[in-house]
Parts: sequence; C-alpha cells; structure tokens
Amino acid sequence: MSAPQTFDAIVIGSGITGGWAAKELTQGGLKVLLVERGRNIEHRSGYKTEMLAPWDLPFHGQGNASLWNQRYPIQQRSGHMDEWTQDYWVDDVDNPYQSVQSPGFRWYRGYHLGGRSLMWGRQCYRWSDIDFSANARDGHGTDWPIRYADIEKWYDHVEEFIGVSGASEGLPQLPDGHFQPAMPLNVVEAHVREAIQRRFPDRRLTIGRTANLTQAKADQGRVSCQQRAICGRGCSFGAYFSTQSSTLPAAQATGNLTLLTDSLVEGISYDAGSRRVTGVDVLNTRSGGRSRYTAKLVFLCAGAFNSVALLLRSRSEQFPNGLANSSGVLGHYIMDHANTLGTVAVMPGFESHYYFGNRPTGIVIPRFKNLDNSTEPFVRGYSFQGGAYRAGWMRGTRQAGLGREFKESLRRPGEWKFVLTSFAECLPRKENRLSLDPVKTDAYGAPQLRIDFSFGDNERKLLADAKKEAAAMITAAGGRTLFGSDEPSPGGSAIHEMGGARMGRDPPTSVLNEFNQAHDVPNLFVTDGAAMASSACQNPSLTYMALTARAAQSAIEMLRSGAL
Amino acid sequence: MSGPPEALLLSRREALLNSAALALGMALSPAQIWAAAKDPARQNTTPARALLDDLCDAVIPATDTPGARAAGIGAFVEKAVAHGLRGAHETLLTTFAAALDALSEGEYLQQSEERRRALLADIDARAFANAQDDALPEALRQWPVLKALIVVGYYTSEIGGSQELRYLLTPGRFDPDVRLKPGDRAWSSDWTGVKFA
Repeated sequence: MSAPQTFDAIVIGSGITGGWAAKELTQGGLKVLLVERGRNIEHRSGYKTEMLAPWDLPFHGQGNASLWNQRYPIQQRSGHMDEWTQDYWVDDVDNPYQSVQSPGFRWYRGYHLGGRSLMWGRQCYRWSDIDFSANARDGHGTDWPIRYADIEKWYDHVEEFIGVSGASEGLPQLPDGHFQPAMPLNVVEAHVREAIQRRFPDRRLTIGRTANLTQAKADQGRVSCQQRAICGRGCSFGAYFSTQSSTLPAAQATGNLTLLTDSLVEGISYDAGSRRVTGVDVLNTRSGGRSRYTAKLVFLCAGAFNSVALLLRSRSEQFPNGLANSSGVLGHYIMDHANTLGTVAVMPGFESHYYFGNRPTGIVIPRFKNLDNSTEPFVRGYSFQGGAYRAGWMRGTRQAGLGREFKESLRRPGEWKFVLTSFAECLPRKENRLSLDPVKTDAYGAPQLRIDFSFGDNERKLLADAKKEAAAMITAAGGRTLFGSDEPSPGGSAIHEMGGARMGRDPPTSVLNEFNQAHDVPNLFVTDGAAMASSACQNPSLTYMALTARAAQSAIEMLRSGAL
Repeated sequence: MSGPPEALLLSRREALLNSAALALGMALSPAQIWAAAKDPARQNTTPARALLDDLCDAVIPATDTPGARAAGIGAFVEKAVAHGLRGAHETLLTTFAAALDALSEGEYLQQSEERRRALLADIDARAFANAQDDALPEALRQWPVLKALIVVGYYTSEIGGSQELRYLLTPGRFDPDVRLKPGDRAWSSDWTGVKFA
C-alpha cells in the first residue's frame, strides 16, 4: 500500500447529506475527499431511461417480474421501483442483511453517486419545537440538544439553495420556510381544503412542500419543473434537488473536491493516542485494490443504517463495541415512520374537470393532534400526504367488460379519487436496534447488518386514529370511502429509517452532541439520519440537510480555532 | 411446437415486400423488409398466438384507432407470461387454451365469432364477479390475469398509449383545472392516475 493521500476532510457517502457536507466544507476552503461506494452517474448524460416511453422498454415499464423476484425481492416492494428506475435500486442478492421480526424490515437503498438524492420523494418539512421538545416533554427517548432557534437559519440556508416550492400557512407545528411559488391544488384538492377548513377549523390541507423548482436557478444550471412527475428516473432539467443537480457541482466549482466512486469504506481508523480518527480504509470495488486516505476530520454520511454499520465495524481496542460507542447506545433507538394507506375515496361531482400536466408533488395535511394539552390515548402525532387524481386506464385490469364499449369507457378519464397516506411518528425504543450478525458476512467479507425492529402500541394507536380522521375529513368533503387501513406497513416502508447514533446532551446516553460531533471522537461527525433522537412525523431529509450544513460550519470553525 | 415452414416465411416476406412497396410506391431496403417480417403484429404463426390475437380482438378491438392485435399485444402477453408478470404462471396460456377448447366442446378458434364472444363474455362476467364462481374451471379463473396483460400491454404500447389515449412526456406546465370536453381522451402519461387507478 502506498503512502496515504491526505485531505482536510473526508466525506463518506454522496447522497443528500454527503453532498451537502462536501459543498459546505469545500466552500469553507477545505480540501475534501468525497467517497461513494457505488458507480458514477453523470448529471444529464447518466439518466439513461429518462426520455423513454413505456413502449421503448422490453416490459413496457412493468419490469421483468422473474428478474425482480430473483434479484430485487425487497426493493420491488418499495412502490417506487419500476422498469425505468430499477438500476438505481440495490440488488438484494448482492446486498444482504438480516431482519429478524416478522414481517421483516424493508431496507430500501440506492448505491451510486447521489445515492437516494436521485430517488427521493423531495418533500421538505421543517420541524418545530413541538418536535424538538417532544422527548423531554413525554419522556420517550432523550432530550434533543437543540431547539428550533438553533436550526432555523440552517433551514433557510438549505431551502434557499436547493429550491423548495410551497405555500406559507402560518402553522406553529409546521413552520413556514423560504419558499418558491407553490404549485397549485387541483380542483378537487381545493374543494377538500375548503371543506376541511369549514368542518375542522384547526386542520389544514396544503400543497406539498417539494424540492422541485417553480423558478429556475440559472446560477446552478437548473431549469424550473416541467411537470412530468418522472423525477425518479433522474432529471436532466435539474428541476429537483439531487447531489448531481445541486450540491456536487457547487463543491466541484471550488476546486477543492476530489471524488471517488466505486469506493467502499471498510473502516474508519482511530488513533488512541490523539483520541482522533485519522482516516478511512477504502476498497475499490472494481479493481479490488485497497487504499488508505487520511484527513483532519471525517463526515459520516453513508445513510443512517450504513453509517451505524460502519461505526459498528470500525472496532478497536479502545472501542471494542464500535467506534464512538462508549455509551453502548450505538445501534439502538432506530425508527421509521409508521405508514399506511389511511383512506382511498371516490369524489363525485367533478366529472367535467380534468388537469393538464403531472405535478410532482401531492398535498399534505400537517399534524393536528396533541398540539396542546390533550387527552388523547397516545403521545405524538401523525400527518397525511396524498392527493386527488382521475383514475387512469389501469382500472381496466380490475373490471369486467370487453370490446368496443370497454375500450371506449377507458378512453375517458375515470372517477376522481382521493388518497390519504398516514405517516405516524415512531417512538425511539431501545429494543429497535442495529447490530452486526455474528456469523453472516456480505460479498466483501464484512459482517452483515442485523435489523431488529417492530412498531409498538403507540404507533398502532396513532394509525387507528389517523384512519378514523382521514375518513371523517373525506366524508365531510363529500367523498365516498372505498378503503382505509390502520395496519402499519412493514418497518422501512416509509424509507425514513433513522436513528442509531442519536444526538443528545449527555455522553452516557447518546453518541453525538449538538453539532453532530461524536462525544468520544471530536473530529468525527455523523450528519445523516443516524443522528436523529426522535422521528416527528415529517419527512426528515430537510432536517438532515440543515443539520449537516450546521455541523460543517461548526467543524470549520473548530478547525480554524485549533479545537480539532 | 415447431415454427412455420421456411417457405411460408419467405412467401410472407415477399407478400410484405409487395404490399408495402405498393403502398409506399417506392423501393424498400432489405433492412426494412426484415423489420417488417419481425413485426410481432404480422407474425400470427403459432396456435398460442392465434388464440391470443383473437382474445386481443375480443378485449380491445380496432375502432377508430387500431386495437390490441394490431398493436402486437399477443407477443407482449407471451413475453409477459414467460417472465411471470402479474403473477402469471408459465403454463397460463396452454391451460387457458385447453380449458377454452373444453368449454367449447371443440376447438375454440373454430367456433363462430359470435359464439367465441359469447363464451368469453360469460367467462369475463363470472371471473370478475365479487363472489368466486366455483363452477368456473380453475384454468378459466385465470382470465383476469390474461386480460390484465392485454390491457397493460395495449395502453403501454405506442398505439394504445399515444393514439387511443394521449401521451406527453414533457407537459412543461401544470394546469390544475381543465374543462373536459366531449371526445377528450385520458392521458396515458398521467403516471399517478394510472398507478393508483
């Protein structure tokens, strides 16, 4: 092995948070190595299926079921994988993990440059102090070391850069942000908004706050959204935020970035004398070659579960149970939002109305329970996402009918429907945890990750209440409910897995401090979902980005002041 | 099951050459002829395909736009079944064909069109009924899978997706309330409406 290459900072992972860490640290003048385990996907030229019609694909967009059952038994359950996007999802056979409790945790992943920033749902919601103070208030989990005032300007900073379209509503539980003009509600959604406001004045239906541009960002080479709603294929317009469209070019423009793809970090090295991490050991997954890179600080942004796994695997004499794990908390208190299909309803009375274009976001009904002194039989809350649309031709696969009449009935748009998906907060519980399998290893010889996870009584009570309230709101708007569920989808289904290296005030009960800095190792920062001490019920990525930018600023200051 | 005799294929190519050249009033290149000969819509060469073509006509016939047969959906369904789409078992087509023949008390395809349509309409009504019809043979209860593959194949084909319905990859704008006029067609590219129909 040749002499290690040295940088100011190493960022592990190029997804939503890794891209942000690389941007902030390089703009702060640091020489940064960004390490991505997967292949390179170039912005614009790399989105191979973006422009293809269904009939251009071998299986018309439906996917090769026999291949999927063989190689993607888990990933195909995401509801987002299709024949256009299948190469962005990991091959389950090549990327195994152990999941113990039935029905099994579904770990959805994308291993390539940009990670899940290419595949994400783009919903951007701020947390409020109702969320940051929840653990302290009801005693579940440990208190967050920050409050809204600590992160507010970082939300501004992130929203301004990535571009978030949305409507200001003045709700204390869902603070307004720095928004580009909102995309409009369609005619049925606007009707339901009014109906809810009349019947339930404390509730609000608003357009999703989404990282899709309604105003171009010419300085970033990004065009406004073309209303295709095929974001998951990659967008050559750069109309939604991804590492490729936004943070990576900004980092590269500084001249301070070195990017490695096909490079798997196998371990973070630790020096007991200085009590610092010194760098990373990297396997080139194409050549099989191994290299060591050193740096003054390390930002771990591999995605919540992979970041925890890397810490667990980075054992040393000083940290026999995983790096930065003197507390013994590492791996514990993992979460994912409990979600389910709260209601599907038919909305009569709008048969002569339709829409043009495919809006890339739905609506949101922010949390309205347990905001004040409440007597609910559960703690925390839930929110809904969904929207109204007219049923397409796929309805023809489920109904009787043949011939000319059948064909002509499918020529017209079908009934208006309204869907509300429930997202319930997940309490942090110690028994929900990540650990390393003592026997099974992956393709590179590393111990597989073991996921112990189940939803608890509180999540089930939240979803039961959500089902009831979803039906009540839709009924109040004149809808006819077809279906509703309060059974949580398997863990992982929200693709909001988080926790395992939580932030906290006290080193004995948490892994990271208020700046996402490891209590045990001052030059190690973990800024992805692993850091979360509670889950709230909002989509978490915006908060990860804000925490990352905040941590990067702190790290730069500590480096300059000599504290690192 | 063996394929068609080579002589038949050759004569098919010649016929295609002649009709296409006449229609276009121009000479065709060999590549164009080969492409035409490989066009699945023109290859009605196996018993399974013949039955599928008939079922395609029954489900989605030609009207003012071409139907599922002309869109080549028989070939799509064969491929879909071979790869298990919608949970189709690999023997779906053969068992369904045999059950149809049994129901017809003779070869299904030899029945009159009127009788074929009546038989299929009965299967369709019973297979999609809310209560399971135990009197319907198991193989015929697979009709919803087969029909779904025809429907999916057609509306994701260029003919079904962009002629029968409207297809637009890049709308460029979102208009939240458009008055639907008589004769307006649905968007096959309304991905949400299709997925959650």
